Amino acid sequence: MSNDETIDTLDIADLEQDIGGMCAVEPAETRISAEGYWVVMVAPPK
Amino acid sequence: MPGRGNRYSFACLHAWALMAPYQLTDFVSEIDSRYKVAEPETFWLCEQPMQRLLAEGLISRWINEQLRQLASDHQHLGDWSATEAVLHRGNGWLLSVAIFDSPRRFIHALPFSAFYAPFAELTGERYRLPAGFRNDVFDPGLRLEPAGTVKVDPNGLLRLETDQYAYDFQITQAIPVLRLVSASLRPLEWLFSKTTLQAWQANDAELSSTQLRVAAYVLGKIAHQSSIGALLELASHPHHAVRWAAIQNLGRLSRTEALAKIREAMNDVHPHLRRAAQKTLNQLDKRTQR
Repeated sequence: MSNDETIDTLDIADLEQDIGGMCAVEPAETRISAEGYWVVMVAPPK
Repeated sequence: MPGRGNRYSFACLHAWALMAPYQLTDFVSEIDSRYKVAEPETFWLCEQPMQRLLAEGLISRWINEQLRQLASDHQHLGDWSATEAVLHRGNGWLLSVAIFDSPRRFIHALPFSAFYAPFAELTGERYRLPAGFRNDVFDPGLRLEPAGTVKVDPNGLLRLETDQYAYDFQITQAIPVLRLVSASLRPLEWLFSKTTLQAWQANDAELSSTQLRVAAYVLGKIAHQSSIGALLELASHPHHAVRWAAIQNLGRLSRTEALAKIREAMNDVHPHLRRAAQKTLNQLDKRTQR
């Protein structure tokens, strides 16, 4: 099948709990924005 | 005149004294013979080699050797980062000296077992993981329970029983800590608030889990049919978030394949996947009824 064919896509729900990626530093700030999204601020390197 | 037994004891003692000092290679052999990755509880059998390593000054000798090599060869490159020097990477374990230089913002429930031997006194709080805690199912409704303090003297040894407890060390000055740690035994590292003790966030314990989720996302964005096979394979990955990332991005490539996987996910071992699958099917039903 080539990519030129029309793709019938499907919207799939997100998981109810988001999992953060593995990172070497702790988030400097983690909060839920007014829109309900996770906002993760990572501290700049020292 | 000493008896035969005394002469024998003396001979043994003399032979021991003539033996070469305990080397890193000796330690590695002992750990490899005791710790079986498939049997996580065998990690605690490594306490005796750790005690011997501390008693025989192996760390001082190792650091001196590193410094000698640096002095004689400025290009010498050890296995170091800014805050950690690795003595050995074994099969499913790691021995290193890490600098604990500042308190952490959160209380971390670690995904690996560990022995810590600080070079200066190390104190902290210990917290019991909440009843009903299941590492792979992040639940912000859960809260830690205080379980006393811990105090380790210089060259003492602390067992970090991370399947039951989380630890919050008080760091007022930089402390080097010798660490023997297992590879990750659980998929997530949870972070708890220090003020409320409430679960705050969970991160992947393994970098590969993060990379695979990003890879699934990229394949979904590229949206080429040749990626369907790879995403189908990822949909069976042990990490639940990798499975769901694969299914979500399969939805950008093939409605038929994605729907089949969503129906399978209705029986997934992870409750978040079952609920996300149900939610998706409900949304589809609503659209078809319109």
